[in-house]
Amino acid sequence: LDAPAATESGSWDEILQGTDWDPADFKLQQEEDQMIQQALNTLPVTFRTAVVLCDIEGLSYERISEIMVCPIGTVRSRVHQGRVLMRKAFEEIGNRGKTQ
Amino acid sequence: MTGHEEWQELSAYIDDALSPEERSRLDAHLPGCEDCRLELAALRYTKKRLAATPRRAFPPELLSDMEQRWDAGVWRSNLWAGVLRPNSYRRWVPAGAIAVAALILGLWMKLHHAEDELPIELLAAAHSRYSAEGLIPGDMVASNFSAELEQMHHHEHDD
Repeated sequence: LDAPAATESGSWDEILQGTDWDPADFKLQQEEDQMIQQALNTLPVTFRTAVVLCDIEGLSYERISEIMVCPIGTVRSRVHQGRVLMRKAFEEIGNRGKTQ
Repeated sequence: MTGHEEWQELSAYIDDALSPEERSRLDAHLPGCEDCRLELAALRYTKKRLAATPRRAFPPELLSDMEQRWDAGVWRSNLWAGVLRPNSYRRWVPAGAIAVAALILGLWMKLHHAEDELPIELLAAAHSRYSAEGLIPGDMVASNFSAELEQMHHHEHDD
């Protein structure tokens, strides 16, 4: 009974050996993605846009200033403010999860 | 979180977007200021979490479909037909966003001669610009844009 079930291509242990996929990790990642999406959705659109373009899409401040049609100083301020708001949103969502 | 004017510069410090003078000033300030170091660590962590957000790959067949439509002028006619139709907000907003995305995409490809590359940033950027201008519902973020386009693409092909 302790022997792993055999398949045509070998035992499950052999098949799964070397793969780093873990259902628990997958679930955690899904929850994390949902949390980020929820947190993003709480941001005013200008801050959300700046943060998404900078941190998710990886664009430079110059490119973001062209896209949002605003000076680089404004981009700098929006990215910073967006990250501060994201952090607060993460904390709020996290605290809500603890009390439920 | 008040009283530290340096905090406004910390995000740009992380993104390497400060002038050399500003950077030197912060480099000199940070070793002696624990508050700023803690704030910097918190901002770095936030950026790292955001950067880990999965992005959808832009499907190549959708790209070629967009190119064909652009060549055929369908984007422009969709946009103007939608704009001119009264009470058609829900229909013309996506068409308008896609038209702009296609315009930027077309220009980008002509400038860079990079037909094989997938400039998702520009598409996402076009979407974000429209989001910022309030033309697209707020629950769509840039990272969803390719998924939205893909869905529309499949929807059209299923019809």
